[in-house]
Amino acid sequence: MSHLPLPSNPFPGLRPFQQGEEALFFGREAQVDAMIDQLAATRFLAVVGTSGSGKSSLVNCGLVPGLHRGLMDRAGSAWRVATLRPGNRPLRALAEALARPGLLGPAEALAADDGSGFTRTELMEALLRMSKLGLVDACQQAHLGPRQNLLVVVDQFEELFRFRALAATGPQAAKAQEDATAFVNLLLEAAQHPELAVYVVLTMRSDFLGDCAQYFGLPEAINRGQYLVPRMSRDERRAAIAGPVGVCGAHIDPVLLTRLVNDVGDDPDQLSLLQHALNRTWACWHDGGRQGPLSLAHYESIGTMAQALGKHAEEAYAALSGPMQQALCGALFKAITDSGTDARGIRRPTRMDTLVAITGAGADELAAVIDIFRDPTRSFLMPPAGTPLSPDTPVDISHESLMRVWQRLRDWVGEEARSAQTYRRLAETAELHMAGRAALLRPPDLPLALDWQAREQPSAAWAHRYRPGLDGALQFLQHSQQAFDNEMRSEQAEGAERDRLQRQERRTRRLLVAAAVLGTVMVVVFSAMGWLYRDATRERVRANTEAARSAQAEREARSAQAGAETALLAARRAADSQGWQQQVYSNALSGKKELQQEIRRAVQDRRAVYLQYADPEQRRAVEALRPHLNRAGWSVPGSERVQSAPTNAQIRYFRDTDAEEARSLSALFKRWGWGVVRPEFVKSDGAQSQISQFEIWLARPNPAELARLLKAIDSPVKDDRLKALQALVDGHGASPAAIEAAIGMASAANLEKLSTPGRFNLLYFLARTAPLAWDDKLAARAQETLARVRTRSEVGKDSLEEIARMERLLAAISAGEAFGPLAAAAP
Amino acid sequence: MAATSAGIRRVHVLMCDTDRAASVPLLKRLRAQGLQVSIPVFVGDAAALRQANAELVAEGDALILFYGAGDEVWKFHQQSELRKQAALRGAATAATAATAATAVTEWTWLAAPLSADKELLQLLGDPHLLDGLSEAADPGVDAADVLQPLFAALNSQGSLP
Repeated sequence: MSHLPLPSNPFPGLRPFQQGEEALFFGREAQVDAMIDQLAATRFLAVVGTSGSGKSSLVNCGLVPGLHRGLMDRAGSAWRVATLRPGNRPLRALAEALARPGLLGPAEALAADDGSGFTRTELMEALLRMSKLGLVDACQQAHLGPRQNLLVVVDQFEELFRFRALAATGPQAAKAQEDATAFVNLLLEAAQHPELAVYVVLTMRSDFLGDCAQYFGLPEAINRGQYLVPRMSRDERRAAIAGPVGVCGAHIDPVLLTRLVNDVGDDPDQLSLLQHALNRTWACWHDGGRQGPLSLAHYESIGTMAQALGKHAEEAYAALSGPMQQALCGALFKAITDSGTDARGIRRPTRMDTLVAITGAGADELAAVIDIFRDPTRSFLMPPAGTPLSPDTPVDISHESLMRVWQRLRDWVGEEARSAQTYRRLAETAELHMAGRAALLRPPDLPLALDWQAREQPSAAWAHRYRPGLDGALQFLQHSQQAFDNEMRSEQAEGAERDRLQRQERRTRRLLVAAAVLGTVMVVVFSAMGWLYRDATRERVRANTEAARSAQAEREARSAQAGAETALLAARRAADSQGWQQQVYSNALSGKKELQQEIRRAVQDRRAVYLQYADPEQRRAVEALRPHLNRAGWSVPGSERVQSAPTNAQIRYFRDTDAEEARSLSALFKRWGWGVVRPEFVKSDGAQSQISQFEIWLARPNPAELARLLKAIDSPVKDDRLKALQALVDGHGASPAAIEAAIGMASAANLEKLSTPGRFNLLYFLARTAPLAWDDKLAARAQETLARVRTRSEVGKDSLEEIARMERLLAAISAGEAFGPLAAAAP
Repeated sequence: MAATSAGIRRVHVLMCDTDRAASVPLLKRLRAQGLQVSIPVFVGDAAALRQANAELVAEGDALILFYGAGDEVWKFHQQSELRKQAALRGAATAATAATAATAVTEWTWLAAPLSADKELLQLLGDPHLLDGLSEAADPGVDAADVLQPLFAALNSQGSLP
């Protein structure tokens, strides 16, 4: 048997099979044979297939080894293979591949040191650029021996179109076009010289076939020598799974084998997912002690093909050290993916130095993130682990399927596409404006562009990938903002006058209402008084009558003593009646003041809070606040998104008599965990401003400041920690973004990297956030965080208190309450 | 492994097409020992070549990799293919519940031209190495001694004819 070393894992995972791994490459033998026969007939072979169909693996581990083993009978088994990816400098890539020592004859055929000071690659490139016979000339000068063959493999030929498209509007466009054409001509020409044993193989995504018509002769060559990668049959898929297991001396349970064959189905796009799932299943079986065959239990424990890749990628993401590395990770993946030409996303290999320029990170910081994702157990990024990352090393994702399966990456790709679109539009509009064909930006475009600038902080390197003109675009944006600000200032002056008139009108209306109410009350009062007056009059008449009768009685008293006593009593009653009437008048006059107070109370009962926020992310928390404010006796007419917001949250009030009310509202927000919302008196015409009307202005989230504060709570300097913690609690307690970032810092991978005070501070902050700013997803993650913290061996007393507080907060969130654990402690 | 019906041992000599002439002395010596010797098929389309050569390997009791004109890359790819074929034979026998060993014993015969890789193999002195290079360079080396390990192994599987 051969003595080749056995791999620790026979499945490559997401990356393609590499040269040298053909012992693990099963199930494609018939396809390889067909390709070799086709190449023998035409000397030019285009291996075409969908993304993920295994084109590169088929060539690396099928075609090339087959040629070396002599499966092309007329050519023998002596082959020299130059493999390259065209990238954005196809001629340089071809020159580098051909200049590899020993490839084209003895090293002295193209001397490394000929005294000219040029490298082998530079000499080769110069030769290739001389004419379309450049490759032919290089082979002739190399004096390949009899039955010696040269195979040029151009992997991912579609890069030629993609990179050219990127340069289409740049100053290098003409040169890129010229180089691409020269590159194609060199390949076509070399394959047409029967006296030379030069063979050319391309791999290319089938959706780029139409682009080949851009080059004379290329469509014809492809028509003659095209191999469209077919789907693997069920038996071939079975071999692809069981073969590598057998090579490593292991066995696979037939039940699992059948399940895998069924799961992968006929979709060639699933092959990479299958390879990844097999890699993980093998690792699971291996880590479990290699007991028995690989079984269904191993496969299901890694999440099956449906979830294995997303889950695995999230594990890698969780291994990042904190928000800074996570942010850098996002920037990295955005830079090496592209959805510009394909909504599903394609790879965009990018040199390290370019990545450093785009992300603004140091090479070491970037390498630390890349290393996590190219760890041999993951292989999400290329080059493989162990390959040094020099400035010119291209970094690439191993397979496009990662973009389709890993939700977080899909989100990043979408964000990047939107950002690039915004930039292109801005740059184009700026140029049109310069030409007098477009106006300055105004809302809604202006705030969108300003948001984009603040969020992305685009670098020149980033912008260069999409379009030139960043400086012009940013200047245009600045001019637009200045013009709009000026316009707003003059509008505000007009608006203030308009507001004054409106307030006056509102006040008049209110006074009219109050007058109407007062009038109604007065009518009722005077009606009552009239009734009482009539009653009193009747009583007086009656009293007079009685008096007359009394007089009569008096006259008669002379004859009856008892009659005189009766008359005396009636006269006294009449006098009493007149006194009560006086009292009613008096009461009515004093009642006017009380009425005024009643009206005032009625107005105050309608005390209103207007909610103003700047960031759409704040909308959910703001809306959640409304029912709770209502329950606390406040009317909330509506919430409004505003363009500009203060740095710190404020409660604005307009009458000095409302100061106390504003303070109590501020205290309420504090109890709700919204941090410090300071009362702010806005000077205005008191007579015209509304009574008991308040405006809550939420601060605009500041991601950079948030990241800084989160980092600082783990600072080795105590003062810095305390200041940052206070600022977090005061200013970010109601920010979902802050809560999410804090939970991210407490992930399984990050928790142990924090210092003890850092962990405590994190918990302290989370326990003091506003329940209304949380959602179910965040609460579930917080539960996991708590579970992790509880399991730590050295949990101090203070931490235990914070844990208890956090549990109360989660209970409040679950119950839909506005008050968190601070409510009980607050006055 | 498959012995012929007459009990004659079969040895397959795997080589590249340019080694056909250089391998003749070795082939003769093997035949002189009463062994049935096969060499690869070199003509045909890729599928035919693959199938025919895989069958020749599978039918042999021993396999000699004739490491002469083929370079290090050629050797590597041949060894990889042999490993694949062994795995496939293993899977096939497992499927039919056969218990017989499926591995074909693999030997390496070193032949000219000398290369750094061949020198390394000489230094390592692997038990399955048949050093034809030393034999050719030093007339004092007994040809029978070079092939002795192969014959001994075949003997241990059953008497040579």
